[in-house]
Amino acid sequence: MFGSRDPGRPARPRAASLSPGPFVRQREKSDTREILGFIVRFGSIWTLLLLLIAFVPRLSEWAVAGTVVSLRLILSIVGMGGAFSGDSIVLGSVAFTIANDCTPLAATVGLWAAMLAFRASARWKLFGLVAGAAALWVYNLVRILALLPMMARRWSLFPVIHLYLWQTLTLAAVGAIFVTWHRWRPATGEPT
Amino acid sequence: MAAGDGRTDVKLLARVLGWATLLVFPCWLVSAPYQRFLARAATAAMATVGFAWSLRSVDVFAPCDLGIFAALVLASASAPRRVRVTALLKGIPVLLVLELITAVLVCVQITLRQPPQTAAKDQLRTFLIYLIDSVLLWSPLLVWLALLGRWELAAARRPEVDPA
Repeated sequence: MFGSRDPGRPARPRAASLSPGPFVRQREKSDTREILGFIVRFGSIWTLLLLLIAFVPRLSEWAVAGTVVSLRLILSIVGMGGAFSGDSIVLGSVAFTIANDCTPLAATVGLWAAMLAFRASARWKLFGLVAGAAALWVYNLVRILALLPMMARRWSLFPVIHLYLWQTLTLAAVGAIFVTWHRWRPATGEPT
Repeated sequence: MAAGDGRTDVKLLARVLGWATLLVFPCWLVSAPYQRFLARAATAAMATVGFAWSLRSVDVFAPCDLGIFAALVLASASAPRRVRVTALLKGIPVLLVLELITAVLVCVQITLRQPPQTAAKDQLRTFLIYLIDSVLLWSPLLVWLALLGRWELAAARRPEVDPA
């Protein structure tokens, strides 16, 4: 009969079913809200943390001193002990000073802001903050040590490599640490 | 979290790195004239508020931020092409405005070097230096997240089918 459906055949999809249903639209809205919320939380936390490291100079001083001590330790282990005086290091023909920019503080602030802004358990966030900061500390030492031969041999390339290549790699390193932290997140059973 | 979530993250990161490697080099090639142009634009912006002095160049991450944003958009395979083109057209002007603001912040930071020096001025200058160094590094990621993050989130939620 006209209008009746053959029970043996699958129903033809109606035009209305091709457009996203209310559930999909609701989910899209909720995703957009979640992402914008994350961006706002990230921006606020990031600004607060930058204000903290700017207005508490002791943090930067500690980061600079810690970087110098770590470099001294690594160089003495590999038998390349240089001359250290305060923040300045002389290594063969290369002399350089560890400044605020040479510490992983700014990158750590970005990573911490992302982790704190992301929805996760307090314990997992704490783990991420500690492990992430440690990973970025090691990454930064590798970055400085990798720049040393460039400073000695190709000084003209140093600003380019320092500003563009390592900045991009730092962003990639922060992204990779965040993704790894997110992937290893223990299942909580809540939908995301 | 969906089953395919982790794999989607890693594939996206690998695609972003690939595109960024390709795009950052041409950005670096044009960086000197681009930064001079930014400095001129910032000088003009500062002149409108009564700071009549000239900035020759700014040492910021631009235009690599544009390259990284383009890399992120091109790597977002989850979004349809039309959406990605729209994201590029919307995101690049936002980043250009942020670049101009950053260049103006460079001017403000230089102004704060003038005597008399105070602890508060020094701390504000340190904050601005951190901001100048970081804002163009993070903004491509945040603008991309705002424009295409929804598509990546939806893709991460879809379970991947194992061909085997």
